[in-house]
Amino acid sequence: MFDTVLIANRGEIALRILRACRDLGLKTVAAHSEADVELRHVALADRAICIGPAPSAQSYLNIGEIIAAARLAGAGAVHPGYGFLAESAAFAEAVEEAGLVFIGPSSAAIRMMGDKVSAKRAMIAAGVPCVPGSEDALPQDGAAVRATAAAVGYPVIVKAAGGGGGRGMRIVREEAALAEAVSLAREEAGRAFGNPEVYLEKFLEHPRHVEIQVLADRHGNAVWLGERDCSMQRRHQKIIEEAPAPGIAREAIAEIGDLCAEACLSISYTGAGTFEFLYEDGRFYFIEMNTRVQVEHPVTELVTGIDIVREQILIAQGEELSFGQQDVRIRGHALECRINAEDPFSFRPHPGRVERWTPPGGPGIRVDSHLYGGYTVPPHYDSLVAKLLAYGATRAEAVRRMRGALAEMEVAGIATNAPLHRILMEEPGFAAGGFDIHHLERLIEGGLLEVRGGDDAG
Amino acid sequence: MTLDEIERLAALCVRAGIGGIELAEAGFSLRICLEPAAAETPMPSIEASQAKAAFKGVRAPGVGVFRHCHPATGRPVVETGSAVREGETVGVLQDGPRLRAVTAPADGVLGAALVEDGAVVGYGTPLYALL
Repeated sequence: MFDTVLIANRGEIALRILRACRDLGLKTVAAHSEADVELRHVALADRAICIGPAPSAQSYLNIGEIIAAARLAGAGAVHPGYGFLAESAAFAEAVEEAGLVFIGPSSAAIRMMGDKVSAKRAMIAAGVPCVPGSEDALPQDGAAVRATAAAVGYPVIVKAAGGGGGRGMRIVREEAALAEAVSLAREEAGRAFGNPEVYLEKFLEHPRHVEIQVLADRHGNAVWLGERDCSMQRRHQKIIEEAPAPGIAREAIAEIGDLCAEACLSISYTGAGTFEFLYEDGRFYFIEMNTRVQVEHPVTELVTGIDIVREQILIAQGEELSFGQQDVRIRGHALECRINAEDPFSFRPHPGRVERWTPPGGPGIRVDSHLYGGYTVPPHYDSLVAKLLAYGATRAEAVRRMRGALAEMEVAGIATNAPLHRILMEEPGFAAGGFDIHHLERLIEGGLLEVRGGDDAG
Repeated sequence: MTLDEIERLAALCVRAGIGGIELAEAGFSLRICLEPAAAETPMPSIEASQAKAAFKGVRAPGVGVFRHCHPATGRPVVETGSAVREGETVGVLQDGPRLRAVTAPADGVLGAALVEDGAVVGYGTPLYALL
């Protein structure tokens, strides 16, 4: 089995992977771009190899160079991290074909879950609840359309089959408005995408984002490691995640968790993965599966005590899971604040040289970050520079610790969104828990950042 | 403004040799900043990267095994001390059966190899001095 892992990623996750490899006694190869020579994991890896210039397309997305680097540097496995090529079936396949081990699911599983239609079909077959709707394009027959909408239940949303981005989309709240909405959506879809076909789905007004973490080995064992609530989002980007999800009965989570673990077996899924759901009025609706480790995985690590990246590697080495579902216990509460190098009020990226970096510490605090004093955050990549995690026996304790950690954390030279997190830790909706995915956008529209805009900006 | 128009505008800036352009009209503003080819912010903590930036010789075009001699002929592609032209193939990288040309970035006289034969090199590794 492999003894050297090539890390095909950068930033905090590359360092996280390096640490897991070190714990397992594995050697590491850091495959990095020309702009990332200074990265912490590049300094710590047993070997570093530059795979291309700064732009991702020529480095972190360059399958040929990464495979060549792995082979020539003697790596037996490739860890893709998240983002970049982590969910590229073509990359997983290229790794497999080169005779190397891809630390993740098979390329076939990635391909199946990467396609919305085949993923939904597989989930329906596995008994995982999906957003109800018309399976195919709506027929011309008005009565048939009305019957479909009635079966799904109002409100419904009519969407273009051929596109996205809000065009060809109509929310319908009652049957009287259905026919006109469908014909308008068809017209718009035809004009925008050259395909007038539309389909219909139940419209969720105030959903939460709740996801289930799973692990599955190559011996037919699959477990779920509880859930994460990632409803604090801006423009579909998560910024705070927590576990467990406030106010959802453990029995309901266990029921959906069991379905996810069973689904892993039915689609021959191996490795770590996440089933993402919308949650509204006590029901879960599958939206997609992430076939990789996620940014927010440490939240689950804190409440379960299970090292997800280590498990990923062990599974890839062909090991059997060392624990069963009955051994997975959720204890306490964990929060994660994503610290981005960006202006906290305009959200514009703010790369640059880190003059000083003083991470917080103390009981229940974990910081996953590649920052150090003198490091320059390059402008070419994602702005995530640190993940601040707080653990407590209760949610209230975790929030208190997070407040303390945010007050302690000091970074000079780059701007971060820490001031936004400090505001959110005091925000009544956040304190109550259970808010929906539009909560933060609503707060911002309501002037959240204007009232407090001046005080932390420096 | 369409993406296409923005791309054309950026290309114009490059051709004109200006660093950027800012324009605004009702409900729309655009700022294009072109990064200078050489990094403006020095990275003092890494001397190697500065040395690399200053290196004007022949670098590796990607990942591969550096060969002093062409595997097919058993001889160097270009002998040390020969005059070479910009874009001329002066050396070779090997990755299994695949060979990759190493080319001169400018006219000059090819210096000695800077990396030993058989070494695994990455993108940008200095391979030959160019005098």
